[in-house]
Amino acid sequence: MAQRNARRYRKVLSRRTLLRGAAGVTIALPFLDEMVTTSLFAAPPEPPKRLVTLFFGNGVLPRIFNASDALSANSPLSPLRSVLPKISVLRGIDMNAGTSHPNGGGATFVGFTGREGQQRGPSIDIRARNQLHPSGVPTKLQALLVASYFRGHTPYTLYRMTHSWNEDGSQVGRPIERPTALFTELFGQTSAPINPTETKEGRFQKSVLDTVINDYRHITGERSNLGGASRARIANHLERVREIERSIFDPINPANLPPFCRDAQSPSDPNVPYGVEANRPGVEVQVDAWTQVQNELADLYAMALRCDLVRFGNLTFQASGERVQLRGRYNYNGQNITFNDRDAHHEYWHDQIFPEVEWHTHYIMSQFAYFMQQLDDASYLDENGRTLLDNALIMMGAELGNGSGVHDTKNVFHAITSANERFRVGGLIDVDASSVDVYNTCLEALGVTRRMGDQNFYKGTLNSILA
Amino acid sequence: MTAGAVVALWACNGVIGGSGDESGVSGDVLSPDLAECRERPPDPGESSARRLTHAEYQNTVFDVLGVDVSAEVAQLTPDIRVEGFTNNAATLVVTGELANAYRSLAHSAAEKIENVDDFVSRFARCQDASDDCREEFIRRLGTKLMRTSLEPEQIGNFASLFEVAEAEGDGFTVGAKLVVEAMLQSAQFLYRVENQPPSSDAPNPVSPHELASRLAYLVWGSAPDDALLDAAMRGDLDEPDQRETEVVRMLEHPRARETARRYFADWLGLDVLEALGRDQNRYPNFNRQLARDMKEETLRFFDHLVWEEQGAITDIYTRQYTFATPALAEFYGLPPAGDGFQRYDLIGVPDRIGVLTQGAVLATHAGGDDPSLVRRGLFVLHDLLCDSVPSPPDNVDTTPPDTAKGTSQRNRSEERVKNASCGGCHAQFDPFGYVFERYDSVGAARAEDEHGNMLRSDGLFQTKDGKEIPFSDVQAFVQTLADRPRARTCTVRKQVQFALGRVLGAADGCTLVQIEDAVSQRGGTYQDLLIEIARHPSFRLIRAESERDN
Repeated sequence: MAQRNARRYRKVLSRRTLLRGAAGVTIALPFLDEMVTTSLFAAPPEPPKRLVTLFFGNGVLPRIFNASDALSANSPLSPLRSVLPKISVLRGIDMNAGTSHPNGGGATFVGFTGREGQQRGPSIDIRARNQLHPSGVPTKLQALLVASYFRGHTPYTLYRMTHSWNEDGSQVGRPIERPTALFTELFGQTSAPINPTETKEGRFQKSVLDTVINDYRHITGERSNLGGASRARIANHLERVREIERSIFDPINPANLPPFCRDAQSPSDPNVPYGVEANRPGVEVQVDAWTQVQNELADLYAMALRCDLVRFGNLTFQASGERVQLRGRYNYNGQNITFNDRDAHHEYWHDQIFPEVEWHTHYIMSQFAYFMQQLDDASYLDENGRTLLDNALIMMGAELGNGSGVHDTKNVFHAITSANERFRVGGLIDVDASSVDVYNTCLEALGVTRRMGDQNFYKGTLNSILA
Repeated sequence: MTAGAVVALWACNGVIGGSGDESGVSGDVLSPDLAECRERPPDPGESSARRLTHAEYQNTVFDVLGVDVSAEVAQLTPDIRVEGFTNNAATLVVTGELANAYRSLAHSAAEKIENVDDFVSRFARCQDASDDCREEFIRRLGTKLMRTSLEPEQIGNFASLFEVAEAEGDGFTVGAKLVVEAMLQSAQFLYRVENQPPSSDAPNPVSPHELASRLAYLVWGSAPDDALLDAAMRGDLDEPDQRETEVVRMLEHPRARETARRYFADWLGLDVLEALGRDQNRYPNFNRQLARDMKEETLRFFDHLVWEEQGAITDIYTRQYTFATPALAEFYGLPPAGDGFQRYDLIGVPDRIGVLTQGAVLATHAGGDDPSLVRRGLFVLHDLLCDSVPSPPDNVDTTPPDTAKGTSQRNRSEERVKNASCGGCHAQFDPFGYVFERYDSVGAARAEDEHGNMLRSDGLFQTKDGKEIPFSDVQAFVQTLADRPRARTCTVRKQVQFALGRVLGAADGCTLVQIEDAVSQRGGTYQDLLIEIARHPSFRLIRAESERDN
């Protein structure tokens, strides 16, 4: 598969040349002094705790997943071999979430099945963030949600699309789908940074934002007459406004930035349909263009973690019940195959056209392996001399154990990294436990004491996954 | 391939959910006994701050500031449709991208105010540097834009922007524009915010401003005008008759028609129509322009029924006319009557009657290139009858059944319905799909499927009390549907859900049956529903949100 962007951010080019978007727009670098001094250069005694979930829709064929050679070179899961020494693939996880894509999609990384547009609890990334950083994370963004998928036009769309949830069960936000939009989110406005003391326009803008923020604080403050859900919703909005304020008015001196953060270059948006509905028969995309989109999103997400712009969030490649119709040639374990024009991924499952399901699985594993390879780049080490992949908790998961027949949520694919030697890595682990046990064991190891998920399914710490 | 395959296939698609259905309506809890409800105090249900939809944002900016931001709003990522509507409070979240867009829009809108002096004079009698002038401007603009009576602390906060302008050597009008820009980003502008009582005790009346806002967004999808605010401040909206008077006045405004269109498009899920992908080899005549024509046909049909005929909502199923462009008329096999949209009489046209045989609805709910009988049947069950079926059991094979020469979708369905383990559910919605088998995936009439199987449209309409009403064709089916009490009940539930901007729950049961009872005595029009929603005692009440803590 394409590796073309793997080194993009390490090219040595002049700042003036690099800080230009696809349309030649100069890009501001909105970093916080506070962030850089405290997290990038203050040599913390241990690396910052990061937790990013990776979701993919439709799951893995049980006969593939259950096989003793599930991770062999001939398996659809083989792309994970490139990072296998640094991950564990967990089998036997029961999500106890019923029998449908939305039910499973809602429960993945949460441990509850949501309903009525509202979850019953937070996702693991947000629970970890909130307990580890009760006053906010010292990064540009509090969470980063990115996705490459097509939405289903059905009820429960929300649970197919969303995998980060606030404590009160509300959505953290809607994922970003376009590489250019992600770049703007990370690297600020498509205009020069504004110094609020230099120009009248800058002073006006700063004053307006200060006024807005003060008003949000007033509305959500101690004297607020709002209920819990309302206050959380508006507080979430306030956080977005504060992120904007920081991105505009708190750019750090670029000279203080490591080159790989300074040299961010806006990607293009490959020519694929973004944000469209995917009824049957689905949406056709050329596999090369789709790969390009996902690689660019992965590159930028990895960049955000390297530059400490964010530490928590979710990356989704393929929605729950995804109906992407890949087209074109693809290298499947050394074999040149062509994605045919018969149907979409979701329908291949239903029609039990398993070669195509296996190809798709291989494809999606390749995308996540690519992302993890970026995190494992030894050129970007944390203070403890380890890569981001070594130090972060990256948790992969899907929504179903068997998307072909009963659509159950038993034995649902999950994988985790070592999180700085907290968890065992290097192969398969048969955990035979509930997802609630897995999520809470992960949280405990990170120092998060408050449990999450449906406690009816909590049996205790899973020593089998601990290092 | 098993007869029960499709049950779980559609659960897989989320249509049959184990934990609820699309409308959020879950049966009996929403239909308590009407007589018992008379003994209960009105309950407004639990509501929370809801972000304005993009349409409401655009309307509010235009109606208060006189600034058109429609071009900018059209560029925003669309609000998503969840649980049947795009105005669900729980899902109208703000991303960083949207928050940034709000900032740009606020600046743009403030800059677009053409004559700032005139604008300022609408809200302040003076424009000097005095605190009184500034406070008056902020207070009166806040009343309109933020739809509340600002607290002194808030007025002081916004007033600081006049000081910033003054420090730069600028006058009142520059400060006023900064205030507009800030207010357009405030929570009380961007959200429908209502002060809640301190506990979950008895509901409280909302404030006059909030009551005026409720009426304005119900009928117009926009902020209240001066007449409405004045009436609220005088206490002239406290009684049901007073609110009805205002609703009747407001229905004359063009905004009422726009809001009705949005409701109807949302209810039927028409906004996906233009994005539907269809195999161009099989459907060469279906393109984006035809899809637009189809959507506009359905909305014009609705306009005519609601505003010209003032017919009952359930008449949408049985009216024998439509509005079509020449291209759409040809698609339907009708001789074009002239350029643009023209009215076509459908009496004597066997395949076309009412909204369910219009291309927009048939294509939107076809489910793909091969029209799905199950999908269309579930659309009727969920969206037109507000009913639901339980999740399929764990051990059901979900592989979809193939069709072949001699075996149509209907043949497969009939096997399913007879099957003891599948028929309990499928009998409730598969027959609704039978009637649409004679329409292909883009809504063109057809007599046979791709295998040459002759298609039928007769069937049995299963009622909730176990009766079976035979229908011979689509004409008979839609009449049966329109006559069902469930169909009338569903129009009430859908419109109340849209009005409240949230999923309905058990606390709404009495409100629903009382509104339905009142509407049935009026005639069941769209206007009747708005009036009875506004008249209901719960309309002016608010209950405290429960705190969530997991």
